[in-house]
This record gives sequence, C-alpha cells and structure tokens, in this order.
Amino acid sequence: MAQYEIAVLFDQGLEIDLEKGGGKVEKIITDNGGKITNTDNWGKRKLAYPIKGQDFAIYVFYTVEMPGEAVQKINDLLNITDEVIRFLISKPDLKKIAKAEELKAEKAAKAAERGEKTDDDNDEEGEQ
Amino acid sequence: MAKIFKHRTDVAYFDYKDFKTLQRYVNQFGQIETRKKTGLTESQQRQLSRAIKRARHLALMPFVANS
Repeated sequence: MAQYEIAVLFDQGLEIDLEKGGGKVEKIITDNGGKITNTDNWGKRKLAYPIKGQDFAIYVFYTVEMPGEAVQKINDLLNITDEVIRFLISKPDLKKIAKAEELKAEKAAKAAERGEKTDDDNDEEGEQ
Repeated sequence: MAKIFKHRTDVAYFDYKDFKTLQRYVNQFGQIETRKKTGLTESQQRQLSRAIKRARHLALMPFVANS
C-alpha cells in the first residue's frame, strides 16, 4: 500500500449534484482496494484552456492509500467515466515534502528571530 | 553570465497544485524558464518542470498564454 493523489476534474453540470459523479469515482477507488484518507474540494474553477468544449470544471483532490496494481485499473475505469473530463494519478514524494516542511519551519523560526531584532532597531531609531 | 534570480529558491518543494508559485517560473508565453534564469539546482529544475507539466494537464496553467 502506498499513498497516491488522484486529481479529478468533474463536468461543470454536476455542480448541483456532485454526489452522483463523486460517488461514482469513490466507488471505483474503493472497489479496487483503495482507501480514501482525505478529500479536497476546490469547487468550480475556470480552466486555463477549454477541455471538451467547456470553460469550467469542478476540481476535487483525493488522497488515497492503495496497492500499486490498482493504479492501472483505476486509470482505465476513470478514462471511460463520462462525468470525469480530466484526471491525474500521482505519487507525492513524501520524503521531499517532509524535508521541505522542515526547512520551512527552520526558516520561519529564523525569520521570527530576525524580525524581533529589526523591531528593536526600529524602536531605537524612534527614540533618537 | 548574469542570472535573473541570483538567490537560491525559497521554495523547497514544487507541488503541481501550487500553481501560483509555479507561475513565477514561466515567461509571458507560458514557457518554463531555463536554469540560467531560474537559478535552481538540477534536481529542483526537474521537480519544477514536472510540477508545471502536471498543472498544465489539469488546466491550472496554460500550455500557451494568450496575453
């Protein structure tokens, strides 16, 4: 079991009834041995270029735990799902993300330190 | 040769969902900038180009900008 990220662009006509398309995709994932750990719904967005003659789509990102064999099956099934106009299955590089977050925290701590120092300088200038 | 961004990037990981950050690394036509201009390391540049290509696939970024 590895962590995957499945991004799905739904037909804009489903905005009112997202459960229909979303339920279908979730069923495809769980039927193939996947477990959805997180869902991120961005809602309706304008596309950078038209896809299948449409200018808008509903963006949903699923974080999924599933075995590697399921990827091909889900890929094939999503390809023939009418409600889905575009999708992407990717494997996030967890090691690099963890490292990046560490660096970010370090930098934030340093910046906070520096920020305090500059604040002090400003106070001194104010007094002069 | 002068680099436009001389500093090392403050972005430690390029995510295809974070298209606002990726936008900084393409030119006005939507093309990915070269390493000479971005000032990234080799592995960072590979990560960047992969993220931009994924973002384009999901129509978060344009293949060709029409400005």
